[in-house]
Amino acid sequence: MMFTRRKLFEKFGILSLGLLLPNWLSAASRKKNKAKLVILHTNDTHSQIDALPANHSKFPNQGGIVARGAIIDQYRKENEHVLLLDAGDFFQGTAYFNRFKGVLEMKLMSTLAYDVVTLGNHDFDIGIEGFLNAQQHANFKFVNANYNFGQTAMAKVVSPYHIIQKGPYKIGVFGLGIDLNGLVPKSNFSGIEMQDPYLSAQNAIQQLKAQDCNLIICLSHLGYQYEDPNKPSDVLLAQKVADIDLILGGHTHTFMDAPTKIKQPNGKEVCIHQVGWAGVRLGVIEVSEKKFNFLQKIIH
Amino acid sequence: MKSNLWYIFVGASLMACSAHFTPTFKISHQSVVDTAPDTVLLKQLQPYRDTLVQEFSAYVATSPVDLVISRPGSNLMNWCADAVLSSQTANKRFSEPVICLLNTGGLRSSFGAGKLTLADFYKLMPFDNRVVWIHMPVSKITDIENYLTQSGGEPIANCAFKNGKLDIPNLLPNHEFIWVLTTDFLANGGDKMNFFLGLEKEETPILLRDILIATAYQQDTLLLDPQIRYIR
Ligand SMILES: [Zn+2]
Repeated sequence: MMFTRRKLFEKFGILSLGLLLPNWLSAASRKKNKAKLVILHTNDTHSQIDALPANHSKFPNQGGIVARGAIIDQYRKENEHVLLLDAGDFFQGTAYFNRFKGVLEMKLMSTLAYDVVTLGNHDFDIGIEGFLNAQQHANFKFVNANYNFGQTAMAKVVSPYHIIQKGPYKIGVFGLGIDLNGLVPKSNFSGIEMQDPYLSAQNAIQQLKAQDCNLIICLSHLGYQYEDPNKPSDVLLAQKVADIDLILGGHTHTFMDAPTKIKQPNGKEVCIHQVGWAGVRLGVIEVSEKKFNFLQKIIH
Repeated sequence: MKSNLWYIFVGASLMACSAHFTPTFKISHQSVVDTAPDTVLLKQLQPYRDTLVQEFSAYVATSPVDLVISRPGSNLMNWCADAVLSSQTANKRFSEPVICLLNTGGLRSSFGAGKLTLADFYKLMPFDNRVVWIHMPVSKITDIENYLTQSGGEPIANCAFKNGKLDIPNLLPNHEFIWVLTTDFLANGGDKMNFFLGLEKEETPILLRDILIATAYQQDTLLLDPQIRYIR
């Protein structure tokens, strides 16, 4: 009897304490995580706006922009600082693209509130004019550092990099694209010149560092790795170019169960990640600062 | 003295900042599966979805068997190449042989047996590639042969690939040229078909996809050749 009463009291006590908590404190427990930055990323979504069909051999009922949206919403509810990125080839692959010429992809990606995307080879499938028509419906940034857009109208809508401040992070995002020759009809990118991706990356990084970015992300549509040891790829980029923190890739439709970590000559580590294709996966990167971990270790 | 100290202070704090700011990453992924859909997106998408379903569910033809795209060759690869060849050469006489060469990578979907809709043909050929006629010197056929040896099989018609050689039935010793039917994408060196570059060509405004749809519609039940045309 005594025991039960005490139990009850304890329970009641806890409950009443909960009720007496000042508003600001109980609100704080529901508040978003402010310390952490969450980077969400996709690549090669290929106009897969609906989920893949139920009879799909590998990914039945998976993907779909509506489901992707629900997951992204959840991350935004729980975290103050969320960055949403795409590594290109958002066009081509379903009848939505053939029928609506990329307009629907741009509208839905705007609703999803993508921050920055880079261009894949298939994003040139309707030519420069087609791209620009669709792009009018986009409210996010396009980056590419190794295409010289010259006098084409694309020069106005694609920049080498974009900088975003999220809490303590000043994030520089630059883009790299694959050599379009042989992948895209020449007439679809006439006036656009291909430049060395590594040199272009170095230039972009130099400018991002000069503007005090403390996190540098490359959105790459170069492809993960090739048999040809000279074909530009994410792995070669990681080995050759210093001061990139993350390479978020595309083009090779590589499903990675863990990121590839490449140690550079200066001791810094670069992480490469890619999430296959068709939007069946969403890449999730939680960024925290080592500084805090270090201090915590001293305190405890 | 005062200003010197100030410099040291600023310098030290800057160093501290940059030296200590090392981000750590926890990298993973989440499978995208439909749980509680985002209603805003759903509402925005629905009218487009309705239009598409209405337009693309139109019946085109029936396939008696499963149709696959698979190297070195397949029924659907043959059917596509044959469709291009016959649509372009029907009721015409040519003094030089005409073959068709497409690319396996450009045909994007296999189908199950049964009814095929317009949507199926858009899945098979999503690209807006147009048919091109290329006038190729007989001496350059070896370039195609080398390419096919490397690639392991592409859709071809009015020819067969055997032991590294292209067998064109109506190629005679007096022929100096053949016509190759292909797409503008490949004619411009797409998929590394660089042997087409610089050759005389005649472009057409005809979309490859439209040929496939029209041919299927005419045949109603697809006329298929299961014979593999690529033998190592
Ligand atoms: Zn792709």
